[in-house]
Amino acid sequence: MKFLVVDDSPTMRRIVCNALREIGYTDVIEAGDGVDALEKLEQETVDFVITDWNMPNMNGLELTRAIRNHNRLNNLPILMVTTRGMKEDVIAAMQARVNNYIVKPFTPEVLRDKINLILKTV
Amino acid sequence: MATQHIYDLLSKLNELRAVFILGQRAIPFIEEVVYFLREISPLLEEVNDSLADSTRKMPKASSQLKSVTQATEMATTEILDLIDVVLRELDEFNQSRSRAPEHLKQLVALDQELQERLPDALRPELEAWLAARNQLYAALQEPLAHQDRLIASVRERMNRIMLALQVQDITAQQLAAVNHLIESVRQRMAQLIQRLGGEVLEGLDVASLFTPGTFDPHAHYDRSGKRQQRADAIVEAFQQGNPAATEPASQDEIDALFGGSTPTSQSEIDTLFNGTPTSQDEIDALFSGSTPASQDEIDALFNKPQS
Repeated sequence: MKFLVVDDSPTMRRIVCNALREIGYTDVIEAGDGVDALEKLEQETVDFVITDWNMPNMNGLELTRAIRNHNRLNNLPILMVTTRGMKEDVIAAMQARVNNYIVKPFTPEVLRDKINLILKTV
Repeated sequence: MATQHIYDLLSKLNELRAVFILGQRAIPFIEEVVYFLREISPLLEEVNDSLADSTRKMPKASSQLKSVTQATEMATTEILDLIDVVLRELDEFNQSRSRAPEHLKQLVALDQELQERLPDALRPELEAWLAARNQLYAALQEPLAHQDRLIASVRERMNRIMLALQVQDITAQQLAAVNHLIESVRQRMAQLIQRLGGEVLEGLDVASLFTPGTFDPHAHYDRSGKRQQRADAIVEAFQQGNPAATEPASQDEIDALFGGSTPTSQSEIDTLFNGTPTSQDEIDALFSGSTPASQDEIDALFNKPQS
């Protein structure tokens, strides 16, 4: 299973990639923002997207909407991992149709549980 | 006609006289106002200079905050690099060490074979040695198992350190929010200085300094898991097709929106005004008297003869 990790912070990308490796997912590619992510999605076959919210050029919410409006990619599982933990934020993300939501700082256990939950339902 | 004109003229002169009297009465006030303006003018200039000075210093504060973010990012990257090295070396060690039990097993098997092939004459003499050797092989199993546990533990701790470094991303967002606030205040102050006739400060395009939406102003490092639980409840409500069931915003969330954990109390507001509520006496004292001014005093201001 190939993952795409989207975050403008290289530190966070490394942390998420490492956490994925620790729970057994080693095939991971990275993108620095929504625009970069869409380019990577066009070039490669990705099975799962993990995205941050606050990013330059195109944020995670806009990326989610772009994916959901894409003919080929619209069913791609999307997990949002963000510092935004306000009720309104989670509602906005769910309305944009992310599959699940993690508030930073996260633990590998939460990451594993959310991925498993999403994979069970899609 | 002429008499009427004289009456009109006298009436107009009376009106003019009233105006002069009013003017005379007003002169001390106007003088006070002019004096006050003269007094306050250098103060305003000082305020203006101070505003300009503070506004000029703000970019430095902003740039220092950016340096802090860059420095923490560099330090975090170094720590992550070191963690990667440690994890890689642990993997290598684990890989080479993982062959040890197998080698040990082979040694035991070879020893047993050797034991079986020994001539009977030598057997009693060597049997004690071989028994001791077998005991040592068995004893080696425990340190090997201990090493396994140790490697797993170090690995686990390294991963925990890595996860704790999420604090860098969260702090960077907090600093970006503060930076944004400083720049917004700087812009407002510069506009105020311009309005007060001061210098025009350059580099005030806030939009060019910060990419919108790249930071969360409410970001904070909270490991209690409460925020995740709240998010989970909302996600679940959506997944069950019942988004309206999401709980209302908590007081914490409302407070966070206003950047404080508790609302401002009346006593705090009073403290701003020197600790106690302002009394009528204090207000009177401001106007140079401990008792309200009498009608006579007011009349005296207008040079009116006492009745």
